[in-house]
Amino acid sequence: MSFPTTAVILIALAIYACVYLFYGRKVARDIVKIDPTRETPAHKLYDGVDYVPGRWPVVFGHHFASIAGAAPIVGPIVALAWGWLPCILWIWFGNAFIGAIHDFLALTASVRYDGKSIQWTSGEVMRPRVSFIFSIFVYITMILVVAAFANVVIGIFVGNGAVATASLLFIAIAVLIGYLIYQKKVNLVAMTVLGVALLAAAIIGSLQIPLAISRIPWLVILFFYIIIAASLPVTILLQPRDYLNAYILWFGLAIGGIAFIVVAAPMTWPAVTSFNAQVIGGLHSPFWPTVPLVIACGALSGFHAIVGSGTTSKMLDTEAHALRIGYGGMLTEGFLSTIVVVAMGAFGLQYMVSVGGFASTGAAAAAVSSGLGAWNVPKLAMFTGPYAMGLNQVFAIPITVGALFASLWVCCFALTTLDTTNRISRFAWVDILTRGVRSEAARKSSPFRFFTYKWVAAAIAAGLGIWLATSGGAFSALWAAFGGANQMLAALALMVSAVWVTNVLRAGKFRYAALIPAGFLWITVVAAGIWYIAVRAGGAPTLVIMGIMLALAFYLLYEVVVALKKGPKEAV
Amino acid sequence: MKLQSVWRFVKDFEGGLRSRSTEYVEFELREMENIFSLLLVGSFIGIPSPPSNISIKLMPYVVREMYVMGRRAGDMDDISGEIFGLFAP
Repeated sequence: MSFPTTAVILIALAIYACVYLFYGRKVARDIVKIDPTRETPAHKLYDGVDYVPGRWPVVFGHHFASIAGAAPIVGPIVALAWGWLPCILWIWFGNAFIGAIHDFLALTASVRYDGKSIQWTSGEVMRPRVSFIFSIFVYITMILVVAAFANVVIGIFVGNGAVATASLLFIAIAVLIGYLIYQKKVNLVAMTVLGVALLAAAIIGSLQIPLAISRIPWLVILFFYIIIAASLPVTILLQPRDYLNAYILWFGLAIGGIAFIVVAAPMTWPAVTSFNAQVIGGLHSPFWPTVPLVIACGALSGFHAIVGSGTTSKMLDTEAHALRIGYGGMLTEGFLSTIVVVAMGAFGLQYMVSVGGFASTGAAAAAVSSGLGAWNVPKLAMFTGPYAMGLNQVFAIPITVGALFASLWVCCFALTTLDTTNRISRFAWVDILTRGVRSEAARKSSPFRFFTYKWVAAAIAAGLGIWLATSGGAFSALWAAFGGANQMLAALALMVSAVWVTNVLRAGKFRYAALIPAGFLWITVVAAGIWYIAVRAGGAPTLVIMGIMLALAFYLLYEVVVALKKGPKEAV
Repeated sequence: MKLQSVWRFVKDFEGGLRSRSTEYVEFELREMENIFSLLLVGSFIGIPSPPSNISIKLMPYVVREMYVMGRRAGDMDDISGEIFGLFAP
C-alpha cells in the first residue's frame, strides 16, 4: 500500500476538522455547557498581572508552545516499528477521543474553578489526598523525563557531533542574548535578529567542528548542566533560549508542514509489520496495550492538563475559546506527530539505505519488519534524516543542513525539557516533603532544611534521573517508562475530569464521553505497566518505579469509585 | 480584509509562541513584587521596617499591589499547580 504523503496529510486534516466540528463541539455544548457570557477568571479576577485575558490566537500560540516539545517527535519514531498505519491510527484516535477531551476538560474545569490547577481540582472534587498523590506522580514522572530526555540528548550528541557543537553554541548565544537584553537593555527586535542570525551561523559553522565525546562523559556533563541550568535565574538561560526555541518551532513546523504536503512522495515504509513487533527494550511488544507507552504526547499527554489548568485557564477571554485552544491545541500537536510519521513513511527507507548500509529499500523494509534493533541507524536520525530529505526535495535545502536543523530542534527542546523538568522536580520534592512532614519543629530542623535547599533538591532529581539513564535499561525501555508515567498522569487527570463531569456538571448520559476514555486509558496503561514488569522490559530501578506507579494507579481507582459513589456535588 | 485577518492570526499565534518564554520573567517579577509588598507592610506584620508612618503614606500608591497580594494569599494552596503549569515540559 503506497499512499502519497499528501493523501495522508489531507486525511489527517479532514479527520481533525470532522472531530473538532462534530465531536468537540458536542462535548463543549452538551457536557461542559460552554457559556460565552460566563465570566472567565481572566475577567473575574483581572489584576493586570496573573489574570489577563488574551486574544485567542495569542493564547493558542502560548498554549501550543507549552505543550509541544520533543516528545511528539520521538515517540512516533520508535513506534514505527509496528508500521506506519497502526501508529497514525493510534495518534488520530488518541487525539480525537482521549487527548483532546482530556485537555479540553482540564482547561474548562480550571476555568470554572477560578483558574485553579487540575491538581487542586482533584482535591476539591475527590479528596485532598488525591492532590498529594498528584504531586508524587509528578515527581516520579519528572525523574523519568530526566532519564529519557538525557538519553535523547546524548544519543543525538554521540551520533552527530555537529549537533553537540550547535547545541552548545545555542546555549552560549542564548546566554549572550539574555545578557544584552536584561543587563545592557539592548533593543529586543535587534537582539531577536541577532539571535536568529547567530543561530543560523551556528548551524552552518558547527558542521565544520563536530564534537567527538563518548556517552559517559556526556552523562557527567549533563548531570552538572541540569543542576546548574535549573538553579540559575530564568533570565540567564531558560528564558532567552525558550524565546529563540519559539522561532525554531515556528520555522520547523512551517517549512516541514509545507514540504510534506507539497512533496507527494509515496509512503514506502511498511504499513503494518507485526502486532508483536520488537519495540520496547528489544522485546516483542503487543501493540495494545503498550502503544501509549511509546507514542505519548503525540496522541495524549498528562502534562497538557497541568499546562492548561496552570496557566492557559488564567488567560482565556471567554469560555467559547476553550474548545479551539484546549481541544484544537491537542489536534495541532497530533498533526506534528502526523508529519513525523509521514516523513519517516516517505523517506525512512531511503535514509536507511543511504546511511544504514542496506543494499536496497526492500532490504531496509525487511529490517524494519524484524524490529527496532535491526534498523542499524540511530533512532532519532530516523526523523531528522527523512525530514531533511523532504526539505531537500521541496526547498533544495542541503540534507546535512536540514538534518542538523531538525536535530537541533529536537535537542533544544530536550535540553529545555531537562531544565524545566528539574525545576518542577525541585518544587514537587519540596511540596511532598512539606506535606509529608507535618510538625513545625521538624520543618525547622537542619535535615529538612538541607533536603529542601534548592541545590540539594535539584541534585537529587538530576542524580536520580542520570542514574536511571545509566541503569534503567535500553533507550526504548526508558522511553516507555516515561511514556507510562505521562499516560498515567493523563489517566489521573481524565478521571478527575470524569468525576467533575459526573458529580458537578451532572452531565447525565453524556458523562460517558469522559468516563469511557478515562476507563479505557486507565485499563490500557495499567495493562501495559503489568506487561512491562512481567517481561522485565527495563532495568531493576525502572521496574520498581513502574511498580510504585501501578500501586498508585489502583489506589486512585479506589478514590474515583468512592467519589462517584458519593454522588453529586454543588456546581461552581 | 481576509488576508489582513489571516496575517493578524499568524502574528498573534507567533507572539503567543514567544510569550511562553516571557512568562518566566513575569513570574520572577511577581515574586519580587510580593517581596516588595511584604517589606512595605512589614511593620503591620511584625517586621520592624519601614516605620508605620512611611508605610501609611505609601499605601495609596500600592492599592493594586495590595489587591493582588490578597488574592495571591488565597491562591497559596495551589502554588505547586501554578509552578508545574509554568514549567511543564
